Amino acid sequence: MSTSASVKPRLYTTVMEQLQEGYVAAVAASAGVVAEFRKRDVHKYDVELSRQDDVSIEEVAVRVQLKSTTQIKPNPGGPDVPFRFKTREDFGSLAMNRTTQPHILVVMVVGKDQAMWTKAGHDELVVNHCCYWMSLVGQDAPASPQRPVIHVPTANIFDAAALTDILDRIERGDPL
Amino acid sequence: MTQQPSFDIARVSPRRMTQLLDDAHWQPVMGRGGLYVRYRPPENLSLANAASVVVPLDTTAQDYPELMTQALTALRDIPGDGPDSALLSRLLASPTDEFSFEKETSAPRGWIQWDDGMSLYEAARALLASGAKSAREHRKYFGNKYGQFANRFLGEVMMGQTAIASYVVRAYVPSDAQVSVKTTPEEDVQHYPGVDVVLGRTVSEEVVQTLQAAEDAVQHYRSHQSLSGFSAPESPLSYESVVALKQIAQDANESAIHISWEPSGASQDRHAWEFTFTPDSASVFEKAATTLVKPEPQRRVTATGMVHLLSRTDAGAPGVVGITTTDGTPANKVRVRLEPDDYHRAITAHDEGRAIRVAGDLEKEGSLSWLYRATLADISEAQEAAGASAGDDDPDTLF
Repeated sequence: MSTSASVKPRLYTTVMEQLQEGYVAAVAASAGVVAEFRKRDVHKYDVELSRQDDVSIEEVAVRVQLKSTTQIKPNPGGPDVPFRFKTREDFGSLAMNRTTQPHILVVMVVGKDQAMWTKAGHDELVVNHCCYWMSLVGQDAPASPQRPVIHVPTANIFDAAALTDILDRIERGDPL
Repeated sequence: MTQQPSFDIARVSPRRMTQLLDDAHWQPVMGRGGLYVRYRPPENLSLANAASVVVPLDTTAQDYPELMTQALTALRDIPGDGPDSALLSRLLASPTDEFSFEKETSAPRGWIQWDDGMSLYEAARALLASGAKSAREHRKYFGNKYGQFANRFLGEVMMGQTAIASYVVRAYVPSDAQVSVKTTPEEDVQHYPGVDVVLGRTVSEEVVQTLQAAEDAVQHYRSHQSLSGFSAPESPLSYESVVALKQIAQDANESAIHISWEPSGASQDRHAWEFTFTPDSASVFEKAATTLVKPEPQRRVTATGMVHLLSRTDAGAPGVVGITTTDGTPANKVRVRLEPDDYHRAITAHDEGRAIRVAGDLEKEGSLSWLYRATLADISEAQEAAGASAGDDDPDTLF
């Protein structure tokens, strides 16, 4: 059984992203939402989640920037978890006030032991550990450091109910 | 991180993007209230991995530039080599008027006999050229008139991919192209459509009018056995356009010409036409062509003067000579296309500073006077004629 120590760092990052994509796709499916994944290098977001309950009504969609980290201990106990962006550009893109399609951040807390990322049985598939979501619209990046740190509420677990609520709010024009 | 792609989004309108996607059979889903519309790719194996395209509709929205860039990127990333992968190129190009020439023959679908295919290309080209000439003037027979202008127009036209499982010649006329009426157009000056330039769209309109007139004239012949629809003074039909249509219609089970215009300039309207010609149309066009070929009476003239221009693309090929006439007849300056031997003699005359005399059929092309089917007379005679002409007015030669 392979462990994270035997995986090359570049591949490890890739499969972390893959894990999170699977998490988000599964949550979207549970919420009746279509997930389309993009190349963030050019699109500034990783996945577009759209819901159209019927072809005769308008769709509602949200674009998501995905981040995953092993730096946060799973099951953190506090009200929020800190997350440091690698670039101010990523922060700025999420903070932009968009009128057409809003963007949110989804951060996945991932354990360092790759073998424990999933567990499947007759009754269920478990994906470890957890995604938290957050809207940064209107926030100003502090002058320093160059890699801004945000605090993602642990109450914002990204699951089907949360995704449904996010899309409902967008549909009503309510803030996230 | 990969650099964001750079597109000039000012060249792209949401309306045009949606129309191109519609034409390519992408499926619009509802989108959201004037903000954007989403297009899903057609059910095509080659596009199985293509993402949907979100077309932003509100150009005043703060995130419009970002969304339009992302939409263009999505088009850029369409996989495969099919027509869909060319959507971005078409979108970034200037608006075009599309002409599709389709010919159904007895060959298997998607194929055509080689000679028939070549004939279709030539006929499509000839029809567009006749449209260019008609944009300058309505005549029943053009001959060489406006030939250079027609060539300049055709130089702006693009040929597109043929359709899958069909043999179709596609021509794209840039709607906003400005084709100069002058042989050597002036640069860095304001041009005025209808005055010193003709717009591509104007030529497209002429072609459409020609095809409409052709349809009506054929129908009239079928009903009344009369070719008057072709020869009516107000008809835009010419010998050249009728011959081109004959070529398109003949030896085919059916021929069709589809025309589609994209919104251009201030006009946001999109237009489309389809003209169908059955095989019996070819015989009607042939009859009509014989009534239209009434060449203008050729004026056989002579021009005497000094060579001021020598132009030839290849050694040993015919060349063009420019002559400044000594007496201003038939014009102050004329151009003559000479066969290689005569061209060589003109070079010699130029080197020796001697005048030449040429005889040919005079035709006007814009401001230029051309002598066609020309021959070079003996240079010594021309020298005598030039000298005699000068001596009449020069008192110094009387003694």
